[in-house]
Amino acid sequence: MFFSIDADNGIAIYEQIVRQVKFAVANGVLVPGQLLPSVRALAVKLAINPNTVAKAFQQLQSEGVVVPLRGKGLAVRDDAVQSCRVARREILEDRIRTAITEALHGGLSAKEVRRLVLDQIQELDGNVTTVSSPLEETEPV
Amino acid sequence: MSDAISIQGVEMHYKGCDALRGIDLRIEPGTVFALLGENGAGKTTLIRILTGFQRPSTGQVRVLDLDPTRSDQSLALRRRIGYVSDAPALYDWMTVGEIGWFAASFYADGFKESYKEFIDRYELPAGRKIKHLSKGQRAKVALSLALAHDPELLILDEPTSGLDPIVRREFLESMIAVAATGRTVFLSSHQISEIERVADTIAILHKGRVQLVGPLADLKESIAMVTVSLQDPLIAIADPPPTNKILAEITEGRQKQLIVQGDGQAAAAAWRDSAGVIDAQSRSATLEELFVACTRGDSLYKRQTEPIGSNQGRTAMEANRS
Amino acid sequence: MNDRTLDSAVWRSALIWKEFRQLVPLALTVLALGLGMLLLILVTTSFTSPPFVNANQYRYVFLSVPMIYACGVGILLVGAEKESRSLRWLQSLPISSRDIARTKLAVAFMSLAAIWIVTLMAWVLFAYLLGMEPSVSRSVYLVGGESLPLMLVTSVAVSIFLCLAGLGLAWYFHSAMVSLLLLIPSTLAVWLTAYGIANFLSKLVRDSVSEWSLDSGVYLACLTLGYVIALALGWIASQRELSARSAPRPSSGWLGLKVAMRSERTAEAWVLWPRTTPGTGMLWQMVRQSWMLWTAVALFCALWLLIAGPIRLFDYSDNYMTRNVISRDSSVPLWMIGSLLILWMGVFAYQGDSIAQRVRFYADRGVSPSLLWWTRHWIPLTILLGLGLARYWSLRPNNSLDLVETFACLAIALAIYITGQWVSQLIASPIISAIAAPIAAVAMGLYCLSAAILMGAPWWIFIATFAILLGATWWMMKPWMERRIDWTYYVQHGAIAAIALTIPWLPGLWGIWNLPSMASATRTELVRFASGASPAKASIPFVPGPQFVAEGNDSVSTLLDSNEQVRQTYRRTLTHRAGDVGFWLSGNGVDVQLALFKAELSALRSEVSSATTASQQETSSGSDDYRTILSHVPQIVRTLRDRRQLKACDLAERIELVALRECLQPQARDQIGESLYRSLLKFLANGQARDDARRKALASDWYDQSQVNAARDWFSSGNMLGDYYLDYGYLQDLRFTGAVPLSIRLARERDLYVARLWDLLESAPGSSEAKAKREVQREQFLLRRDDLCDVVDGVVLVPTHWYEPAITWRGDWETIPADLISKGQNRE
Repeated sequence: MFFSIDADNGIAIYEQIVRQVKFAVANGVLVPGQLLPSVRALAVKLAINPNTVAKAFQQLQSEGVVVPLRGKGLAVRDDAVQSCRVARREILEDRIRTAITEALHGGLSAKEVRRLVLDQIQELDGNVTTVSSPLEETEPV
Repeated sequence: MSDAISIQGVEMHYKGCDALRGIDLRIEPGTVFALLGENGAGKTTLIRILTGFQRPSTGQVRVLDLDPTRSDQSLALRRRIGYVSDAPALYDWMTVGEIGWFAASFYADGFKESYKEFIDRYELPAGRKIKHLSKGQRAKVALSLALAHDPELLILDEPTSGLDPIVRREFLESMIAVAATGRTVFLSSHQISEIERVADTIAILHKGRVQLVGPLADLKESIAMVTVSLQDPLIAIADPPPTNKILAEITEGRQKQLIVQGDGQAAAAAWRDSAGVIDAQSRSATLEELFVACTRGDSLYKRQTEPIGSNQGRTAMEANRS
Repeated sequence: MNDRTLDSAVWRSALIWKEFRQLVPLALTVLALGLGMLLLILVTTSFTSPPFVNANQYRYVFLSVPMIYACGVGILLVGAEKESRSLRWLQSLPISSRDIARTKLAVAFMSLAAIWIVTLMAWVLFAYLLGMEPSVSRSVYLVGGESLPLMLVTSVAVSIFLCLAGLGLAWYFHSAMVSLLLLIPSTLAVWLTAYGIANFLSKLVRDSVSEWSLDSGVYLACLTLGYVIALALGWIASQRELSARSAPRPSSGWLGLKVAMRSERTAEAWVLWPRTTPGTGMLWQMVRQSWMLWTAVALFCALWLLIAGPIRLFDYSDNYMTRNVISRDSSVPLWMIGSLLILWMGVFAYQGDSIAQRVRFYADRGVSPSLLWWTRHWIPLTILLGLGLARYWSLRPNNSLDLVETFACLAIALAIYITGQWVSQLIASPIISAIAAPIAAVAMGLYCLSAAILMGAPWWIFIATFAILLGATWWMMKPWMERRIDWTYYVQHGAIAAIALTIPWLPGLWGIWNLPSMASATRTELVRFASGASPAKASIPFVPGPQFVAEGNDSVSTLLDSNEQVRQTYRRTLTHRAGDVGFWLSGNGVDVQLALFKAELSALRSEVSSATTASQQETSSGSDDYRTILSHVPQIVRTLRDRRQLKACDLAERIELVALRECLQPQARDQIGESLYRSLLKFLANGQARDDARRKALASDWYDQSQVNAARDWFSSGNMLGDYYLDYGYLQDLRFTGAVPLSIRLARERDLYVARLWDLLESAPGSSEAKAKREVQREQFLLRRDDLCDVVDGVVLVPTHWYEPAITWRGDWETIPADLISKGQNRE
């Protein structure tokens, strides 16, 4: 898979790797059982410090996204998809929260914000390609 | 484990200028250490002291537990380190292959094969004279020569200055490959984007002093850029909460940008609530902003007498994290 | 990577290889220059007489090659590495500083030894090829009191010193050119010390030791001391250079304050004057960057003006020109060092203050090549001009020739400067160009001298040559600035240089081209006549002739009587041997013989005519003698003609003239006898045989002399024709000098002279055409005397002088015998 690392955007590099792996698992780009590249190979490919990569892998492992396979490296856990989708949802929620906060902070009323959001949903729903099957409905709209 | 490089109280005084005014640094083995500083900050002087070209006016230097300025120890030291300088002066009349053969005779076996691997990887023509190579190719030759004997410590002095992005990328990859095998890399540069990706620990050198030193991740985490919008620019803002320190501050119109050490969000929140402040936003500072803050003007110098994130500070932060 | 101790042979050989490779350009340049000098000397001296045929005389070329190499080796090994900073990289490798210094020292020595061996082998080969005595033999060849083996030893010793001193200086000083420059005073120091000590010692041991062995011994001892010092200082400097630099001591007190103040310069201080053009900026840079150099130059100029300036090179104090070249010894080294410094100032134009690395800076900023060229030359040329003016002023009170001398000195200085700057644009490395420049200057000097001497190039044509060489660097400035130094660059430079060097030869060549030469038809005819039976030019045994002057202090009558006896002896000899070539061509001078012959015949004739009146005809011995002598004439004439020599042929004609004179006497028929008279006249009338003999003689002499001239060198014998020395001035108005054109002119003039003589024979004897041609021919001959050799008032005049060939040819007398015969026939 391709990573896109931006050293400047305020998010720590290891965090960016973690997120992108989770997204990839959630989107089906990384399938369960697939091996991640080695620390060294990924570090060289991305031109980032191996310790950073190691840290990211460590976090992924501790969060149960990947599991070490003896002699082969880290592989995506079978049950990682669900948790990654949850994580993806959380990240997206965070992003929406940031956007709404900014809107409210800028002086828009709650009604205006709601109007904005609904308009966008109306416009985009059905017109955006999806990468995977939709999540099970776990919460009410 | 002992440090790969240990610099204690090093000062360097030339006629008419003080290049280094007291440097204390410790570099752990197996890390990538980046030394940032503007031109004339003293980076090259420090590296010349590390590589044994220059004796410091005062202070002690130990590299891999050896003293580079002593001639008996420096010979053994040079076998174990690789050094790439800025625009290295190789023998122009030699071909790429010849200079490898020449250097190989001074190191142990395996240099030639290793060198050949590097040459092939960088796609350098073995039969061409060095004077006919481009700048990037020369830098790659110098790098190959420095890496072919698998040194424990790699010292690079602005190796990619003036090189195109592809060559710079190749240099980065080589540095990382070396670091990945557990070797130490000491890099001096002002290519901030590269350092952000590659460094474990950084130090910022300014006017002969270390202004900032510490693990990059920690530094970035612990330093925030807070933008404060004021009603009236002449009103002084309140002090930040005691756990924060202001490192630098710029005023423009009715806005102030402050570089704050510590929890940026908390500081921003505190300021937002204080009088005369319309808004305060916090984000983590980029390394470039850090660098500019450390090196521009005397504001930082005047406020601090001790470099931020000195060894005590670092261990404190590590303690905080764990 | 295993860590076992490294095999020292491996890295030592790699290091030695690298050092040797760095020396290759220097070695090749020096050897090529040595070869070039050798060829130049060979070519130019092949025209001289005597040519340099002894290999010993080339020894200066052979001995100087290793010495010049020794000057450059240390500086190239260390100085070049320092300047290119590759020494820094070398130090970053795991080599100890001792090993680096040791290897450089060893390689310097080994390469110097190699160059010596190559040079000596080349010398031996050269001597062998030129077929002369090998001068490296053990026999002592004394030239000017200095034996060759000793000279060799001294040269080797000096070269070792130069090598060590160069190394030491290069380790010590940052700039390679400074080290090169300082070689001069260090060598001088050793030499002066040796000179002083030898002078001092020679007063003590005046009698026991020969002077030159003392001098050489002291010199070698001082050199050895020099080795030790150079080695020690060089080693210390090398270790200091190669190990960690010590920190400079902190500046204290007022020095520190001054330093602190200096570093606080504001931006305004950088504006030196309000408006700067690129030209003035570059001139400022040139002075400011190398201010030490220009200060040294200024100091040297002052010193030179003080010591050598007021000395006239050519002293015209006497009534006629006497040339005292540099009368005071102390100024000679100053002139030589001054020339060297002027040369290196020229080299500085394109190599100094690292201009070669900076030209791209200028090129990128659009500085025009002409401007850069001009700024590089402006300062040195101004210095030279100023020096010239100062010298003229220092020669006060001036006489009229001082201006000429000043111009001459200035011209030579400019020529040296131009050579230096040309060399430095051609050769990329500053050290090699600094070393090659003196050799090139000497070669240029030799070349110009040879062009002037050999081809008679006038002095003003060298202005063109050197102006072209100066313009060549201006022309090639653009490619040089852009560092487009490839083979086209060298080809262009070479073409311009070839043009510049050919120009001095043009006047001479033009003169030669315009010289008239003999028509080829005439030449083939002459060759045809010259070949054939080889003449009997055997040498004639010397037979002393009769002495004509009786000695003694007796009275006149006794003298006359004793002379009478001699005369009788002479008459008898004549009667027996008048037909004998040995009688005529040996012993007393031929003109004396001829005069006596004529006189004796007259005397005999008068005897015969007086005897006739006394009725003692036909029985007097005088008459017999008379006729016998005359009867010998045809024989001697034939013998002389057979010799195929012009002088013999002319002698034969003079003898014929004498005989004709006798035949022309009023009573000749009776006095000579009818049969003899007729046969004589018949013989004398045979113009065909005479002409044939003349042609053969002229052709043979011309041809033989041409062969002899071709075998010898150019200068001599251009004007010999057999035994005649031709001094003619036909081509005098072609006023040109130079050895080669002169000798070609001599040869051609000789040919033309002979061609005109040949042409003379085409006209009829006694005709006005013949007379006109004879006039023309005689006009040109400078040694001609105004003796006539024709018939004047019925009297045949016989010239006895012997300077001019063929003066009897086609005279009026040639028609007389035939007339006499026809008159006689008419009578009968």
